[in-house]
Amino acid sequence: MAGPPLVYTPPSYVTNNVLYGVGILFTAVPGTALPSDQNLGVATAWTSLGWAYVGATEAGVTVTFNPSTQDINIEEQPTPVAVIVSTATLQVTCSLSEETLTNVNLAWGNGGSIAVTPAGAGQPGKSVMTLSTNFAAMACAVIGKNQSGYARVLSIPTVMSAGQVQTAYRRAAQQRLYPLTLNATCPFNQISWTDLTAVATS
Amino acid sequence: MTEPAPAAPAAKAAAAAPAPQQQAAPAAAPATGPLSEAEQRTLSGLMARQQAVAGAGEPVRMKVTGSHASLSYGGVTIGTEFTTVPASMVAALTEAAADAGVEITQES
Repeated sequence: MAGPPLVYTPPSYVTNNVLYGVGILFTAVPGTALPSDQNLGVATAWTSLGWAYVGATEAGVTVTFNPSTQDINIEEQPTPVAVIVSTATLQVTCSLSEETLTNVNLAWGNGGSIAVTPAGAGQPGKSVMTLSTNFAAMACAVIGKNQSGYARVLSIPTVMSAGQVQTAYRRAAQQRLYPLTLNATCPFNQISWTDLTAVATS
Repeated sequence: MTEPAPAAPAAKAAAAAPAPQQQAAPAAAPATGPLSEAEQRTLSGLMARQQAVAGAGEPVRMKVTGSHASLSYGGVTIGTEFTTVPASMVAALTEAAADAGVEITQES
């Protein structure tokens, strides 16, 4: 006597959800407002509010979420009864390809100051960056394009630039690069992803 | 908490006057359950703003004087015209200016 047939129907996947493309990194003074939802994908809306674009990168922007966990074990079972997050870090990294004093400062902790002297009689115009270890916190946002073609924004209200920066001066092998490591220093509940999904109805 | 019984229109007008503490509570029950997406975004924004200015006081206006045209520190640039500076950055900017040999003036 035959039973019902055994079928194999795997779930379908959505190739449209496979995303790629560069991320755009903006930084600003902590507390700087984000653009309105309508303008999250508009570069000038960001810059007009005081956000600064870091410019070209060598290999795009990388976001790394790295929690470390602590297992809670009991003798009576081999698997943990709970896994607790003990620490968690969120980093935004990239290698800055545009060598400006602003970018050098950003990579070197954002603690330096840049004084600009205009050109005058007998005085060439110049910008002088004075280094400091008083690293200044900043806000950052990473913008990418989502599967709808709209902006998807990762907003981190407070980060600090702290990472080893090594720049090679080569004749022709590659451009001078400034690795940037931004470490989130705010509570995770202040960090948000915003995904634009549809145009306003009016 | 017990809700007051439905009131007549005249009684509602009277209720506009200062009421005892118990009646000052919102008529609607407080929302419960998880925050909506909009509420979460609003809360995140408010908390970020609060953290940015916590214990920092009011922003001040500063400008560069002397031979320099501008000074940048921590994402803030001060030019020769008065620029509003977050209070949390005033001390650091002042120190940075001193280190860089730049004269700055704070609006009093």
